[in-house]
Amino acid sequence: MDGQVLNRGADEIASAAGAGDHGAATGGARRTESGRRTVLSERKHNAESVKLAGIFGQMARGEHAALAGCYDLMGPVVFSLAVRMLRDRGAAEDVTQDIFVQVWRQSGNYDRARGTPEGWIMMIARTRILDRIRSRRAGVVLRQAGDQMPEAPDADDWPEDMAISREEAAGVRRAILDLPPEQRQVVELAFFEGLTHQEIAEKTSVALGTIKTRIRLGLLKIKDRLRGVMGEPDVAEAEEFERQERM
Amino acid sequence: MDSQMNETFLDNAAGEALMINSAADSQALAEMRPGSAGAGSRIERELNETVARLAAASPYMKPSADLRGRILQATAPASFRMEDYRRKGGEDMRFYKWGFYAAAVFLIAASMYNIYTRNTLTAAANQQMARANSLAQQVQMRDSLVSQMADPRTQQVTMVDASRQPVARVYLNPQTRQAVLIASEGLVPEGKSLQVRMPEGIAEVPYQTTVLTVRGGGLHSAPGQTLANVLSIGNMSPDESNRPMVAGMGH
Repeated sequence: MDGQVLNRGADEIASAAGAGDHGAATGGARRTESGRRTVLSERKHNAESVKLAGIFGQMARGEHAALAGCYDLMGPVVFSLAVRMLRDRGAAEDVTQDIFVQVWRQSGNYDRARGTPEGWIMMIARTRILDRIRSRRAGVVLRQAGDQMPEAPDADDWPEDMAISREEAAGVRRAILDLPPEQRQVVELAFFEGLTHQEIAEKTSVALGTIKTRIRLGLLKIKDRLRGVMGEPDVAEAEEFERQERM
Repeated sequence: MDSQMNETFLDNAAGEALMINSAADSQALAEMRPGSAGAGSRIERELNETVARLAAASPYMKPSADLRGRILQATAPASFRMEDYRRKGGEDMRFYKWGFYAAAVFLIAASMYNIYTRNTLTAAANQQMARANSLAQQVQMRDSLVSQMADPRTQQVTMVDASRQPVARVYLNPQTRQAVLIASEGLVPEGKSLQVRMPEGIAEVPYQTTVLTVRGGGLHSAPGQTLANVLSIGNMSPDESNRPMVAGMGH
């Protein structure tokens, strides 16, 4: 497989899909480029994410106190996601605890080359939460879900000092809102409800192939909008932070 | 790689990032990975990061205050120092430093105030105690004087000056050798103690003398006149004008 072709193909598909769905390809491209520059500059100033990378180094060395810092930067993010997906604060707290216990135990397995620490934590978080959702569907969990919560978040309800910054959160929210409704729906069903392609197809009465395409296009568009955020934190900066922490 | 394969790879990579792939989709993706070179893994990684950040699309929900402690407790080693958690947690130590300074200043000020208040109260208490002691001594002296003056063995002597004017009165008790001298206020010199002495045979016996000063009372007090600091009584004569009398039931 030609990597260059693959990469270019993805961008072309995303741009083409944006043009087809919005009917304003040029304007969309301009917005995307502008958004990219903005996110890049914001990313540069997200010290919390860099700090998290340093904290991971400490956790890997068995410094238990570093877990407190890790929780401060990511705990509310994980918990918010858990509440959104489980719609039950009690269950969300339980699963958040399980997630951080796992993060602590497996912090030595984290590999910077494979992604950012917040991405690694969120992967563990979603795995755990989806396990909970799927076991609930299978009737394993007796407790019923039903906590009330808003469908759409407020524009600026995100705290300042998280590993995913307020600006990044706002960018993500804008990116989702900008998706065509049919793409937004399937992405949300997949991400928040944990429904598989097949389940989404059944729920929406749309062909499986179309669902896969919509999810792919939606996710690629969001990725494109957040391209500046995708890189890993500055390793030198993280190591400097880690060095200062040791002093 | 053709466009169809590209799309299939991206479909499966997106599904894998969202963790919604079927087993067959995951298997297909795994088979396509070796042919995708670095670009495929880069796209997968970017999709994973994109999905990670989708969490920020959730409404912010604040966890309960004790969740952090529960997590730390569940993962804690046998013992840990709270100070480490403050430091690693990024808490600003300036707060503690300035808080410590403020507390130290407050404690010093409070200590000084306490010392000052205690000293003031101690001084006031001592003053009151001295006053009480003084009053007690005065009462004791009064009782002693009244006892001496009431004692039937006590002789009353009126002391006169050269012009036979009464200047003082002395109550003498030869048994106890105690004397009470009552003189006009101006006759007792400042800072001098007076003592009555009485001849007994060839010797002159000192009496333990208590001096009382009075204003008026019929005692003479000429300007510039003072009692000598030793009141040696050489001779005495009966005072016919003021003889003591005896009265009682049946008389």
